[in-house]
Amino acid sequence: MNCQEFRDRLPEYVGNELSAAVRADAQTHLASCGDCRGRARGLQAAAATLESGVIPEAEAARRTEALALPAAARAGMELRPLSLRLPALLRYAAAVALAFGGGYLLRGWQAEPPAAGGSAGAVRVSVEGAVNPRLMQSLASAAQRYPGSPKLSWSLLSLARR
Amino acid sequence: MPLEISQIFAEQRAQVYRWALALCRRHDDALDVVQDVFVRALENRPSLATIGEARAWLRRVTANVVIDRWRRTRRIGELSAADGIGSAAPDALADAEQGQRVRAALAELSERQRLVLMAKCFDNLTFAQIAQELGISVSTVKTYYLRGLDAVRDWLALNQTIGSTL
Repeated sequence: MNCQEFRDRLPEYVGNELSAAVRADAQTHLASCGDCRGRARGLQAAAATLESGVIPEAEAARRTEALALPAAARAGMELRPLSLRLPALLRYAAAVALAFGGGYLLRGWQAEPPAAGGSAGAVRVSVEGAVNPRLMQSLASAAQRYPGSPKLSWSLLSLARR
Repeated sequence: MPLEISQIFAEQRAQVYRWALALCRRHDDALDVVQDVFVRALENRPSLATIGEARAWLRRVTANVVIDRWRRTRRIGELSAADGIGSAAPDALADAEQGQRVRAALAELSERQRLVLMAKCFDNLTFAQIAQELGISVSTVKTYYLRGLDAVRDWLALNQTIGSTL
């Protein structure tokens, strides 16, 4: 084995992945080549330093058998509702979309004049087809505050229909 | 179906402790690192389908946690009382010094070099196994291994005592 051939096998030599026969050839070369020997020993010393802190898996298992998952983090993740785990920006965007959606819906409705004797400024709405009354009430309230374009209103209306 | 964090914890906490101890050289610090690693797992909820993927993810996060902790608290050449100064046990001080050297040397490496060295030196994986875990070629793994060891060797030679400065 010459120097180039040894350098080609240097990772396997330091990492103990050479076959017995090839390793024997490598050691024969190192016995006569100071440069390769110095390089190999420097790398082996660095590897040994890293390896010196490793303990057997069985000992690691014994030392950690009483360890539990971080209780506070686990409880926080399990008890917090999904809505509170959403980033604040997403929650804000969802609220804005819902508010605009209410306005979009009501653009397609006809406002009826208040009944005789009713309070001034009261608005009654009627729309064709069956809709979720509670959802419509919420959207109507939001739409009066945040009017929007018609397209999204029809999308939300289809969701509200039974 | 992603693995549950509780399952990963039950099966891999000892392994995470081994890595942390090899990097920190102190039992209490290693336990803290294990806790920090799994807090990150609970917060980030990585989608890990196999134990192999979980080990690769945990190895990376363990190294990052150790390096982050070390960078926050390091003083070149200084050791706190918690590291064993004043202790009646000279081995504790030697372990603390060695741990500082190891962490400082690994902090200078690229993440890939660090992961390859951890997989090879701590877990005794073959180059082929490491290549499969990291999704890179065997020749690239060998290059990272040699360059990483070269960097560790040079750093340790340059900083033979804790009192040395870069």
